[in-house]
Amino acid sequence: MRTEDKEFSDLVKQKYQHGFVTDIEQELVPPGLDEDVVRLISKKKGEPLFLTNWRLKAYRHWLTMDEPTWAHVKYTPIDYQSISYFAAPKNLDDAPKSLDEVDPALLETYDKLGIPLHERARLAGVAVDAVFDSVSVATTFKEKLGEAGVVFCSFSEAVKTHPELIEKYLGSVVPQRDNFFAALNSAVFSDGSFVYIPKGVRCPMELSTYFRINAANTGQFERTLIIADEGSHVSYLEGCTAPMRDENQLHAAVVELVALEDAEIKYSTVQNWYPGDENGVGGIYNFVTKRGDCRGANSKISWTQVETGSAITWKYPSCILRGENSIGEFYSVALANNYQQADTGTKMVHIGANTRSTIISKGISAGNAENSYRGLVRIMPTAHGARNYTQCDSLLIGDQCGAHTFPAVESRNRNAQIEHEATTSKISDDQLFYCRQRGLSEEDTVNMIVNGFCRDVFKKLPMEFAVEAQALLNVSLEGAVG
Amino acid sequence: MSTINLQEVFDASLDQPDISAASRSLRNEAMVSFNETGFPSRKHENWRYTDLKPIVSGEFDPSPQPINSQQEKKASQDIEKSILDSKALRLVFINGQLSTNNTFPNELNGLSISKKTESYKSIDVLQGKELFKDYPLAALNTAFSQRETLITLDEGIQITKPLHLIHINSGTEPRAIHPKIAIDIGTESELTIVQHFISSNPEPGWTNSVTLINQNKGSLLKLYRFQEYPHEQFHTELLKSRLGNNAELKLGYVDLGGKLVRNDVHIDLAEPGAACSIDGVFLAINGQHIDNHTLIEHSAPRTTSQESFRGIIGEHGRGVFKGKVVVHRDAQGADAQQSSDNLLLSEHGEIDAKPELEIYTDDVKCSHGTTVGELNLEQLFYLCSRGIDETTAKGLLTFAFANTILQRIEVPEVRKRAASSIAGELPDHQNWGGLL
Repeated sequence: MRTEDKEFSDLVKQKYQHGFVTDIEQELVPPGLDEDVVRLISKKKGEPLFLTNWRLKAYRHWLTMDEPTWAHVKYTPIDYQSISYFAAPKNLDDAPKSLDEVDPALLETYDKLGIPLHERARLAGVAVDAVFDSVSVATTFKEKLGEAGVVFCSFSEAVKTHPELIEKYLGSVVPQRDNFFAALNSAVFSDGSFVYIPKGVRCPMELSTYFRINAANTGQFERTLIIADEGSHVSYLEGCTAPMRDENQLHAAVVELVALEDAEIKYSTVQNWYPGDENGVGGIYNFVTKRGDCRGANSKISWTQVETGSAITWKYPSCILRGENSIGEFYSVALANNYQQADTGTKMVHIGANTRSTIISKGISAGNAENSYRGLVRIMPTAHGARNYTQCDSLLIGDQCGAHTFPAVESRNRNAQIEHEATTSKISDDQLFYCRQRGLSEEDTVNMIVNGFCRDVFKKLPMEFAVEAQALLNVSLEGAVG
Repeated sequence: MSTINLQEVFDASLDQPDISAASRSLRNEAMVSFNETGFPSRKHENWRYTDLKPIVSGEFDPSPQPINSQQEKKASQDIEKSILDSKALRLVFINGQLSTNNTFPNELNGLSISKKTESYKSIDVLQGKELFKDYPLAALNTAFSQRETLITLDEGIQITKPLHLIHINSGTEPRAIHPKIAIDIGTESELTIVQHFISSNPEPGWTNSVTLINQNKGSLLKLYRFQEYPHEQFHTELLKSRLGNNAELKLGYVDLGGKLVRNDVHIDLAEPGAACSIDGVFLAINGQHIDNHTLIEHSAPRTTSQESFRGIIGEHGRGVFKGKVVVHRDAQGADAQQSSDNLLLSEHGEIDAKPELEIYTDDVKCSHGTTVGELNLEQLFYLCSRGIDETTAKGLLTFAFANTILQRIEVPEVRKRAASSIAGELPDHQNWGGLL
């Protein structure tokens, strides 16, 4: 082994720094899933009848479904009966009204993660709805948002305060029967975020949620619903990190976005859940269904994601471009190191006339990882003048990793114009040599090249996220040089 | 379901004394495999866009029929219209059987044609359980193929004259024919083959062809496959090839006819330095469905592949392309380029394209590109501004789009025939003067 190889393999072996567990008493439902558990979850959350029935319908359908096997990932089968489907911090009754009242242990967790909640919120003007395990415990800037008429709260709160919106929009983008994991989520979802932006309102600040999986053995089933009414605008940030655990944890979230006429939703994610150790033991299973519906004319939905964590990622943020002139965007950086497996991409379904979509995907594989882009661009006969541009590039670092591209193009309209490009390569020796002879270390060179490789996506992220994402990429990738 | 019981027909076809033990056991294996898999359905990822229902329900009879003199006579008329003149080395197959009308001398300069009866190692490694499982139609072909033709070329022989294989589907009732060709090219040898599928049969028929190729070290094979059926015919085929050290394969696919066409190509660049190129062009007009599925495996270092398909989709036509490139762990220095470009000229046409890359090593250069659209308006405007009327301009641009691929066909007769056939489908081509 060459010396620099060793140096870099040491760096690659760097332990996950965010691995720790906060001790908070958990209220757990015993592991297992049946109709009673679904009813119990619904009851505990004091949900109206329509929602209980909605969950049960999803559960019954889930029973008839098979776990999908088409993704380019391998994992030991999940025993859905060994998962506990509900965990909530116990002191729920006296839930804090402000940050000062928040359980200090919780705040400490955020501090360890380098997310000083109150500071970040004040300095960056970001309202944070922190989801700790499954129930929201802290929501800030509510008043300011309230003035603008924006509803930003936990999902369970929204069920109580805005049941009519929930009933109207829940499952309208991702139906209960959509896929195996979406059906499971629909049956047992615990909590999540709800956003409603009224007509003509530009949300005064960026909305942000930090997810954190804490209790061992509790699959987390988030449900996020964002509705942007006519002419409104919202930017939503989602970031994740999780403590180190040896057991695989399942995360099957569903995110639904609805953009009505002239509305715009920008949804950004930095996902850094525990990826497992360098031997591929442990790590989060991240099986997420994310979909946006551009329901009105001239609406726009933009997905930006930086995926560096999770043992397995199965995630395809998609856009249904129904409204005329609507726009869908997908910008993604997916990094897989060690034994991580990522199968991610997007679907753009063009239904309305003059709809446009852009897909930029950057995949980086290092170590023994497998990284796949899987996408679909479908042009329906009604989508006159539709336009799609897709570019997916893969970077390979090391000769034991894999990078795959599985795009599909289906066009049924002659006026549509579709372009797809994909390239796969490694960091060339020329590039490395050039930087090295100018005195840069190999590690810095790789970071620089990778950051340059991902620049198209990073510049789509909100500023503070972009900084975080860049740092995250450097940490996740350091030294993996071929 | 079908009134033709495939198993019964199969049993009857095996009930002949002149079938060798080796081919008997292979055909049995193939039939068992097909019985397990059945016809591929759209639930299978590789068959998502192509429905074989018209073939399954077409009740095509696969039982062997001897060639009668009428067919021979009719075939000679068909051959008159064929691409290459009578001086070419020629093999004619009528409904899968070798015709006496063939003008080929059986032994020529190291090239030999025979009926494969015994096992032949370099070919037999290409077929077997795995192939039958992955390609059920190839299993069906093997089970029912009456004559597996073996073409071998000895070491160090270059044959410049193209070998012309003509497959004619003729007959009055709906027939399924299963032509099977095996090709073994010796070390440092060169051969050009033109495989020509035609039919003068106005009735629907189904041709299900299999071509197996083994290329030894440093050999070069150019194979141009030209399909121009009437629009009632069905065509499915598999070409499977294994390339040795520094061997090179150049494939050309021209699909102009057929109602439902599915071409599978599976190339294994098995040894260092092997290279292949596939250039394809197809017309899918008047309700035609043309599907090209390719799989190229880079199994050894410094292997290269280049692939480009162009489709013209007209009224109610549908084009399907799936190109998969797999670069295996040992294939350092692999280079794979793939492109699929499609012209969608009709309101009711559809194109489905899936270019896939599966890469397991880092020292590679791979890319693929797909485009779908109508004619470039600026180009159209340019031509119109030069006084060319719009219809002619459209025709010219469409032809130019296909011509990029046709230019790569190295047998002039094939290139010319393809060019004039494509132009013939375009409006106003008679006004192009000496352009072709």
